[in-house]
Amino acid sequence: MNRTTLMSAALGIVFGILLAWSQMTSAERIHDMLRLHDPYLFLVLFSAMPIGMAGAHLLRARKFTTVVSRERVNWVHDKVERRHITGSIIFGLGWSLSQSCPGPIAAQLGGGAILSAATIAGIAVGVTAHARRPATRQTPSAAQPSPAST
Amino acid sequence: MHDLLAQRPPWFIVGPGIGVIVVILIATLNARIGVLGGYSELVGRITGDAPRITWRGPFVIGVVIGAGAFALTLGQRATNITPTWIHDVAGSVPIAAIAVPALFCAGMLIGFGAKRAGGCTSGNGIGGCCLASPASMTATMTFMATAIVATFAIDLLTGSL
Repeated sequence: MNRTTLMSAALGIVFGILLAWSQMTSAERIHDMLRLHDPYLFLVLFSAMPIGMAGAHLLRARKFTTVVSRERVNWVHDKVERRHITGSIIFGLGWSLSQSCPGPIAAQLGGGAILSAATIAGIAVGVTAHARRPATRQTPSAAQPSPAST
Repeated sequence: MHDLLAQRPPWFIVGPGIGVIVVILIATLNARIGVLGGYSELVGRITGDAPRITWRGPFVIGVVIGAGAFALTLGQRATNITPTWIHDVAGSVPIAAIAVPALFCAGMLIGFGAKRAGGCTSGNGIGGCCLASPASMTATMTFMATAIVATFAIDLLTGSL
């Protein structure tokens, strides 16, 4: 168990608590948000931006050396490609059908919602299918992820 | 304590809280927050597609643990995760008979689509937008619009609009 694993697990735990506590795990809540009856999700996302954006850019501007991985804070952006749109359409459809997305689904599992195993099994198949898609359709940026992308 | 946990906190607590997590991830690991990458890392370890675990796998496991700790402290399991539209279409069919295949298919769309787009709601939506990535912002607007329109379509089709 190295420090990277410990650090990321600790942050994941906090994130999981927030997801569970904010009831992002509830299909009914997500449905209400996606049918625009409840602004909570959008307010959460928007209010995360100022701190996240300011903090990230400040760290980069200061050439901050990260505390655990001992590297300079920096990132490269993927160029906008068609896959960002097509992939997001597919993802958005999955989100509306399941009324959940990867973070909350993991929180559902942790919270004891056994049914989430079905969604997770599907995600496992989906990511595997993507990893094994025909090589001719691979784009360089998708094959070699930059440090800051998935 | 129970009342505090049984109600969701105000958005201006959760959002900034996530923002802080975003910044600490960068300050400690130069990592852009994201969850789907953790799924593909862990799945990849099993299938052999991904040779090594980075920070992503442990992060997702942390989410599971954190949510578990919360449920134990609150004293109840995660709330109903069955998609609302299933109740509208099930009729006399057992809910699980529809929910299991529906969630599995939705999961496939989520896994494949988010991987293709370079991230999920956390990855592109929160992480990528905090880094002001044009690709992430494009992805975020696309999946938000898609999810909202699709939700209205599903509600229209199932008669709950």
